[in-house]
Amino acid sequence: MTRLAVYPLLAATCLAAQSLDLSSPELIADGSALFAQNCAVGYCHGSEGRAARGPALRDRVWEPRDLYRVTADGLPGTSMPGWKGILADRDVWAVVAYVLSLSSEPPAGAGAVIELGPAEGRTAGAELSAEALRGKELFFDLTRQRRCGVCHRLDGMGTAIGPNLAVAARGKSREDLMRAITNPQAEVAYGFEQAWLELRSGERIEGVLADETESRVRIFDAAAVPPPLRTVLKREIREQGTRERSSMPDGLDRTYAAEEIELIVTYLREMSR
Amino acid sequence: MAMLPHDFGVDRARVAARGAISWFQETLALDRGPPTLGAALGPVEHMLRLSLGAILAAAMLSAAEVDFERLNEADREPANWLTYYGTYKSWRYSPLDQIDRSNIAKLQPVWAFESGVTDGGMQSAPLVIDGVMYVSAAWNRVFALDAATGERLWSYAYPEPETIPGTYGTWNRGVAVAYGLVFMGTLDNHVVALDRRTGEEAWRVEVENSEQCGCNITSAPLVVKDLVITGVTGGDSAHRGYVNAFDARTGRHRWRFWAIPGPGEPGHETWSGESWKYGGGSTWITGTYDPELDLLYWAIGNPAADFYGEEREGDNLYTDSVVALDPDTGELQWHYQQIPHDVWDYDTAYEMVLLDLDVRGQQRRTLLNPSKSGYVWLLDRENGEFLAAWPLVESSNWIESIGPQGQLIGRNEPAVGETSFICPAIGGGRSWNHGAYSPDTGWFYSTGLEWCQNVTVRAEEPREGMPFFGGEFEMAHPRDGPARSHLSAYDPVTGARRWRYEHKYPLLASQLATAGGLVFSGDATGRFFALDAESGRELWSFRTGSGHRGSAVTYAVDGRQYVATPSGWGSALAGLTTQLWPEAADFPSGSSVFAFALPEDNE
Repeated sequence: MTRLAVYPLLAATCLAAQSLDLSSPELIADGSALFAQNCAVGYCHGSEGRAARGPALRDRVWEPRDLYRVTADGLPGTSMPGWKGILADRDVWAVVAYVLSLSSEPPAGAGAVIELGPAEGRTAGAELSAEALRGKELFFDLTRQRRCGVCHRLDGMGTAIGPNLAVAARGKSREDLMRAITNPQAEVAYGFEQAWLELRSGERIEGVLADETESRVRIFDAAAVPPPLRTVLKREIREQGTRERSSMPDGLDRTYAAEEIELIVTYLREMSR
Repeated sequence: MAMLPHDFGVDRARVAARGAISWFQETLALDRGPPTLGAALGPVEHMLRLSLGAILAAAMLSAAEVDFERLNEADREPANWLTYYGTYKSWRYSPLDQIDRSNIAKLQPVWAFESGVTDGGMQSAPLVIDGVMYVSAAWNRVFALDAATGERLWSYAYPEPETIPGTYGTWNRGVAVAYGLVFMGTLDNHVVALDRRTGEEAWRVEVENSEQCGCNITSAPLVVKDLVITGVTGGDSAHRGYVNAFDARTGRHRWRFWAIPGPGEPGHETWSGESWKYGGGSTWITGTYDPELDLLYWAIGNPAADFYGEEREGDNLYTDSVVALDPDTGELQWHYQQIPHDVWDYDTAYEMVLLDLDVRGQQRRTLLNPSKSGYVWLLDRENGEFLAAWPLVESSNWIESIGPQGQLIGRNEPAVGETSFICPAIGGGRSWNHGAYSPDTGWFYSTGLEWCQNVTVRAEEPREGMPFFGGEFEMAHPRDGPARSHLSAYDPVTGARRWRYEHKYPLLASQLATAGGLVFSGDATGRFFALDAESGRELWSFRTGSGHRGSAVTYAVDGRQYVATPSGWGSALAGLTTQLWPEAADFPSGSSVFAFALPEDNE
């Protein structure tokens, strides 16, 4: 991928307050490239804001901070996503500057002083070491159907079925964590004892209890990866209980090589600092 | 979790009453053994001549739960619309003939249902099972309606996700029903199963985290044997597509077919470098199944980046391919790739119509597959052999032609860093909405879209789960006149056109063919219309108030035939139309179902 022309973006590493001129040609040019890749694309706002499924953005009148808010936070209840956390804050402002440049009444007088927030893009990677970053990639590696992120949410990614590992890994040694991954039955996280239901039909469901009301129980069925969340009516249950056993699947050492598990452990340790 | 409607008490009472009726019917059916109605009545051809009353009486006797046997023999119970395409053959044809050419002028609306969810329009294909209609709306709403009156029996609202992959919209194209459950894919890439009597959730499973993959499910699931099988969007994102099968009763994952082979698998060598990881290959339209061959068919979408192909050198299997899978394991049995190394975003991903045809003097079991490229491919469905390909549109310059062995001749690839005039446009020479096949005429009915685009291709690096188009486009009129569309009848083997119905705006709704000699469809302005299947002449129309983007169906309740159509403009292409037809910005969105029947005194 080295011969790709890299867009002039995602470079905002400077976290200090910075003033941005929303009519600056450089900022608008950056915003144009970002808009083309993220906003115009396919079926959303159309090339140069000409409209597709999303509304036309050109030839309209905007209040810059409103435009920023919608771009950064999205519009809940619609298809418009929030770009905060995906694009760096400066890049969200660059998109705003570009859309303002398409306006039928571009803002008069330039140089609105914008205080950049600390928000970074998804790829920014915080303060993790190179090994931990590689561990993070493995943790969420979509090419593996059995991966940690199927059941653990961390760093704003993945799905929270099992325990929060940033908490669970706190104070654990590297060896503890290696063992917890390769031999999940060695120790069961507090509150994550395995729940089981014995149904009147004869079926037995084991896994992680999600919630319970007067009439039904919801349980993540650990018999499959990903675990389905099953709703069971209480009148269908003959007996239910918990046992000192983990619902974490065995055999992750077949999904990940030993050196890969080492990298994941490094990631967990850095995340739990 | 089901969101309870305000009048839940009333609905509940109705459901209870229905439950009692169903229980009675099931008991009746149990006493008579499994529903072997079809076997008792003989071949389908004979069936077509039976009176509607006899069919209905028989159907009532068979009102047991929908199981694999009923799905396999869906064409033996025309009172119902059991699967997304009607039957596994995917004909979108009904043998019901109460409404026909002679009386269509009297067709009148009998009820309308409003979902209240207009963002995303109404793109669904309702199912009708033993007098109950199951229909999904955008934002993963599901409704069970009395199919004769439109009265709501229950409703379900999937919890609104915090974030959704914006590229693929909030619409939903349909549900599947079997084993007492209603199955639906969700806008955050889950599959849910609901109790079909109450709408209460039975299970839900996350296929892959949608925030990370940038993908979701908008198409209807397909039930085969004890499995519920779903595709996924994501072909315009840095994502690797797949088909997944889950145990219908428990939601436990059974198998995954990767649309892009991984390291060590055959076909992996058709991707350069690491491009396979983010190469698209979505599976965004429902596949189908041949019970005799025991093969599951799925049509795979375009490779990503859509327009920029230099970082994914090779044929890019199995994008733009039809794959035949073992339904029990998901293992590949054969594949046929229509467009090696696609750089136009011309998904194969549309319906596959199973037809037994005489092909140049030989009886063949075929599979007819229209593609976004504006061509229709005809394959031997036993082995994937190429039989024919023919065009739906004249506005086509991406290739010059398709050779006798299926080879693409004269590829016109848009150059990187430049703007190229390419036809058809990204919306396709046809959209995903499905054609219909009538065994009465032997013709395939399909829309065609005459439109083009100026596409600017740019190098782009993949960002996992984020848009990955490798360019952008501006819609354009064809060189020979304004953009337009048509609905035509074709010989399925030669593509010879029998008639053409012209339209000013893009026709983006599915076709429905019936034994009454009719073809139904709808347009962007909200007209739902019926054409003479033999001549293409318009015989009847009705304004439903919002444009048509879904799939009409027909069914019968208590001896009365109904035609029901979704109505509700609003979709990716509906938005794009404004670039060519500015007035389309004023076409109202909507989300309703209209049902039509003949006046009762007609019978």
